[in-house]
Amino acid sequence: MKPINAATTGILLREDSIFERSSEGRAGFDIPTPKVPLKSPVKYRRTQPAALPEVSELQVVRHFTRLSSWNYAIDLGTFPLGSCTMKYNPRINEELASLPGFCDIHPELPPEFCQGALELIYNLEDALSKIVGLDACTVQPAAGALGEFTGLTLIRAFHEKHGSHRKYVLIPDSAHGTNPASCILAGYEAVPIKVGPQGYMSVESVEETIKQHGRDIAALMTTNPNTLGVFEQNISQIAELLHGIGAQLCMDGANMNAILGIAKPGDMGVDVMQYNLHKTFSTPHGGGGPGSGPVACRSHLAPFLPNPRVRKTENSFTLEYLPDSIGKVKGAFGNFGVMVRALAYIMNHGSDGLRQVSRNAVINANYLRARLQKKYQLGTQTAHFHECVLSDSKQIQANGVKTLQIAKALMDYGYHPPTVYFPLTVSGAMLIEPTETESLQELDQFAEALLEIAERIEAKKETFEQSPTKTFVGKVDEVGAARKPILSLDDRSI
Amino acid sequence: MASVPNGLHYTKEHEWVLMEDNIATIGITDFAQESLGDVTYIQLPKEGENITKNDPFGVVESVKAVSDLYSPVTGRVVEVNQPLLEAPELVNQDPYTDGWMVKVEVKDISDTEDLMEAAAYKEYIEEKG
Amino acid sequence: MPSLPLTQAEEQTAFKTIGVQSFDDLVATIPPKIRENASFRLDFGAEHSNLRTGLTEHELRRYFTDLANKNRSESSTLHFLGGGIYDNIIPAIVNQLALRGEFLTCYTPYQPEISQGTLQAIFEFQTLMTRITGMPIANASMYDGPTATAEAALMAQRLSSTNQNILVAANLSGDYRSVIKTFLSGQKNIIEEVPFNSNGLLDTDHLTQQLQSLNPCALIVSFPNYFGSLEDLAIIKSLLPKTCLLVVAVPDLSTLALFEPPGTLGADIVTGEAHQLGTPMLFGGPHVGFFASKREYLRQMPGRLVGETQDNRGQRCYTLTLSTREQHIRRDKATSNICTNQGLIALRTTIYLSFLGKQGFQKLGKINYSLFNYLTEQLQRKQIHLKFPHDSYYREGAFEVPNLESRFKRCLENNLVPGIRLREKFGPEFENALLVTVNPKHTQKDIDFLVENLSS
Repeated sequence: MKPINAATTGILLREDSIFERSSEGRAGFDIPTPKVPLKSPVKYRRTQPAALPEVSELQVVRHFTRLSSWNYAIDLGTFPLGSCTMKYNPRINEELASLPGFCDIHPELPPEFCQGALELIYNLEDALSKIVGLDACTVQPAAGALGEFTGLTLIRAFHEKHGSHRKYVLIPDSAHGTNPASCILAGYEAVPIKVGPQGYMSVESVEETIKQHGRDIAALMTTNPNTLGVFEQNISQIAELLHGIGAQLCMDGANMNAILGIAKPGDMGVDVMQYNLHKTFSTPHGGGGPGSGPVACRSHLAPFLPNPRVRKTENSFTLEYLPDSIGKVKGAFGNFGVMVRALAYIMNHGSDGLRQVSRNAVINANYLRARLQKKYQLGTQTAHFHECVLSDSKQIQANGVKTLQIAKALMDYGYHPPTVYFPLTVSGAMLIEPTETESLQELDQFAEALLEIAERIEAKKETFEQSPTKTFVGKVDEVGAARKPILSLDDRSI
Repeated sequence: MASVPNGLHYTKEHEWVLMEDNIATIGITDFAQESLGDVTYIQLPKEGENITKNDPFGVVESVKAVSDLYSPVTGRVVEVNQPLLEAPELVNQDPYTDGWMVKVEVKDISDTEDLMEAAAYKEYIEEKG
Repeated sequence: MPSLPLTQAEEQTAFKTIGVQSFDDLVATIPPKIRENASFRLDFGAEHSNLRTGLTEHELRRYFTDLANKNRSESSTLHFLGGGIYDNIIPAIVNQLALRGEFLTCYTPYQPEISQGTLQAIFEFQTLMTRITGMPIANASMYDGPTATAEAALMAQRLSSTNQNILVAANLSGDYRSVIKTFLSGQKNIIEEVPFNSNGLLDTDHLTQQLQSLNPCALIVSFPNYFGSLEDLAIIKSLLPKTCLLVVAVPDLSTLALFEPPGTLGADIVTGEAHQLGTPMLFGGPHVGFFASKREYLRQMPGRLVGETQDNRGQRCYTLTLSTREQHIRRDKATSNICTNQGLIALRTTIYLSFLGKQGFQKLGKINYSLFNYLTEQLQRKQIHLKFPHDSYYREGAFEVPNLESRFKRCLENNLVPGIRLREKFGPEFENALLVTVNPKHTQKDIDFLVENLSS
């Protein structure tokens, strides 16, 4: 089989910035003029109107349609970006999230006027607690990183309530970059735990750190399966060790797509974890957001959850404010629109369907691993779950071609590259997460592309130094961009 | 192969020091600039500020990486390489001459005693691969 | 299930290629005790208890439509709600364009060669934000107004090597204040509120004392404040020592259509909320925060930045830049732990503002201002007055409504939500205070209906 959906050229149109289409005095969108006397302020009045573009409806439509055609997207092809879970999200979710009964409601409506929204939040928090086997959940955090911070802040509130002021959070060196950053923000110092060549934490490494820092340890934060796509098989023993010194086990749930219905964090001894709804429960990534990062926890951490909490009474849903709450981590109730999509996704699948999601995600990743390991070095020999990690060592040896070139070469084959140079623990890493929504045919095509690239490198036919060549723009001068930052149109003249 | 001139002292964090009387000129090594790639930004202390041995005194950034600069000596900054702040690429082009960073009036000239000489540093970076 | 393409036969093929007998072999590294207990039960009311097989698209549509209908949306219930989240008219093309799969299903533009659409749109967003706020630089967006403002407090702390205390205006929205406090709860510093005076404006005498006693690294003020009035930013700035940054939160970006932007009045950082420019209320999110600052603080700014550059064919193009500030490279030294941003909502804002244009933006401000003016006059005729009477309001204000509790109830009975009651947020002195907000969907008739219901 040959890769067939390689990139080709079509009609793509160039387009300057929208400001350059502007003509002084041209009217855009019209707002109705009310039948009240029109007035302007005297005090603090703006002297220079903001220089917004002056363009027609068609100009706006063309501008953004042209721009959109320069993007790669899941709707166009496989998007095997490891740790990002770029799965297809059923379009019905978009329809449901745009129902006027969800879109056009203000969060300050009296509770009796927004019962549907409160019911939705309640049901989603309930489902998210059960899926991971924990006791309570908040959907307020706006994204995964904010969820991590929320989880760690709950832990700090818990310790402080018990008069314990701890200093350290242990973090395996294979962790997401957000983990150490969240840790600092939450007022803790990050202590790295070395992950050996087997790709998961050993009980001994945690024991050793505990010996060193003892009850100054507030928590250990781990991703499971971790960023290598490997299950932390010692997790239960590690949890016991931590609980033995009153520390908490905090889990980054970024990789939940691997274990729905296959393993519950609650059974691993996890005390608190965050989800990424936009990864696991389907909200399109939209060029980087919005997302949502709910936090689920055991009952001992629940009194500290962000306010307000949605409660179910006999015949209605009400709001409760907890006295020990850590406060708010995001305005209003969180990213409600993302919650609508997540609940729709969960109900679209049911408990059996969610298990099937993870099952297929794991099979797809392992299928790719099996096909690719003929030409690429595996990052670890341990079993992978929903993603697999390769290294560029064979390609460097064959003809000095590194991961970056392989990634750029993939673009000319019509694919978005995998996550590259992450995790940091594998040199020249390519982290591949195909997700469950790719068919076997698509996976075969993708594998063929990567194998052909490897063959061309082995045959010393190509070094892909000039790749990509078929994309709308060529290799981008990132150094120039960083040395003389032009961050808005008005910077061009500086 | 990265160049390692004789007559300079080297740190494990890949800074070099040139001692002339009690004035230390500090920069980063050829090996360091090579591993960073194209340098895009350098942050240095102001003239008159005091810096301390083994503490960070500045930052050097490339597109993909960022490193703290660790001071090999304790003392007062007497001169900063102003052209370098405007043109950080000088570090890539010429790390040992035009790419110098600060001159420091050293309190204790024995500060450099525990640093590596050229031969030892050469060995050190060869081990690092 | 339509979203899961793998057939049973294909599953067998895959197992053969992988070299395993069954799925269990693939997950054998999970301890059996954990594996055996992994099932869970999902319940969604009597009709969908123990939901094992998922609902079809049509069944979902029915369930969610029923749920949505339990809410009183703007189309069925007249409301005068605001306080940081605002209703607005959204042009048809905003949804049409933002729902294009190429925008909807792409990722953060880490690979510039295949993400130019998103990158250029963000560059235009940054340009719009600088021009509206009057600041030299703006980032690619933040989660929302409150989190953006909390990030501004953290940035002020990074910029100040010595003092870490923060002053926050007590007349800033409660959501903003609470989020700031939570974000800073891990740091060792004092966050103190600056009280407001009998005009509802910042008490500058008290502020002067606090500046002396706390030596803060930032003062966070609201423009306008939660009671709808505009603070005199130039005077406030003149009180601050050089070491104290003026952070101005603008919970409603449309304010700057009419009023002098904080950038020209001496603000160091300007943050706030921009959802009302192209994105519906959505019960509070997803929305989009903006973050603008002076250029000298660039290296300490949180969030993503898009910069203009060239490709190897000499064409103008865009890329994420200065990303060494971010968590995936700096890890525990990052300026912020933010990973996801609000790309799609920022895109909506960009489309909306482009279409609204220079004149439309001014008209939007003028209409809000005029509607509120009319509302105030009509209420005053019925002896309902602004709690803080002065001449610097934009589109909302706190009114003293006699017998608020009973009148509020009657409004609800007449399918009208007249505003936000302030008692719970600001205490017993606000027993009868109601924050009333207008928006461009309101007509003269709507306002007359509100006045009638509130006044008798």
